[in-house]
Amino acid sequence: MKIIIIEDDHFFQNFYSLKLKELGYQVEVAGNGQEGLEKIKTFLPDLILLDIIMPIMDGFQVLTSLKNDPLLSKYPVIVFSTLGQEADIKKAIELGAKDYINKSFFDFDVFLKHVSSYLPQPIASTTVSNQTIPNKI
Amino acid sequence: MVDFDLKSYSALYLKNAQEEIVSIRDLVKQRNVDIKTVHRICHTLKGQSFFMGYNDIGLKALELETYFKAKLENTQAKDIAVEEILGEIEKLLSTKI
Repeated sequence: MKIIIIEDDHFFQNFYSLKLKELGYQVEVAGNGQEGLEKIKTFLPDLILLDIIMPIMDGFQVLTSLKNDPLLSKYPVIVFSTLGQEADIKKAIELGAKDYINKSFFDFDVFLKHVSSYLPQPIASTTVSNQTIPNKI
Repeated sequence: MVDFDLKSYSALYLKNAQEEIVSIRDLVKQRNVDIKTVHRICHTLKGQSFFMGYNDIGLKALELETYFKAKLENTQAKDIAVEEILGEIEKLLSTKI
């Protein structure tokens, strides 16, 4: 299964792509919204993890573009948020985001629950950091 | 909850945080301050700090982010001492090394 992370912060790009790859996902990364939209068209992800505050094209602009394109509107989007972005989350949901994850308070189980609920099939059993992630969460 | 090694991210965090403080400081000194970029950098510093569990730094960065967001949206922003807050963040950072 394929997940694209659209996030300008290299720190979070590295962390989340590494964790998802460890679980067996195919991961693509884009550093801003414009690059993300281009990569979505070729990568054809099962899920989009989208940051809101980015240079060049922000997450709201990406959501608007996805919503207005019949070919792209089918992709589920989970927004990456942080503390203090409640209004942004509300706006993102109104623009078509399915869900949000607080990227600053990392709880692996919560993260996987969110991610797997928008993917076509449950994730494979995988061992991460000496603990086993079950087939079904 | 899966336990993972945050220590491996400490060096990267500290390097990033120091660079972000320098960038914020440089940007706010300019005559025409690029508020959008300053806001984004404060947001980045906040997110990384909370992620690392450095909530004291995260809250300071949130204060800066909230201030610059208000400026960006032309809503009422209570003046804050940006340089003073940056100095406090630097002091807090030195305790994490």
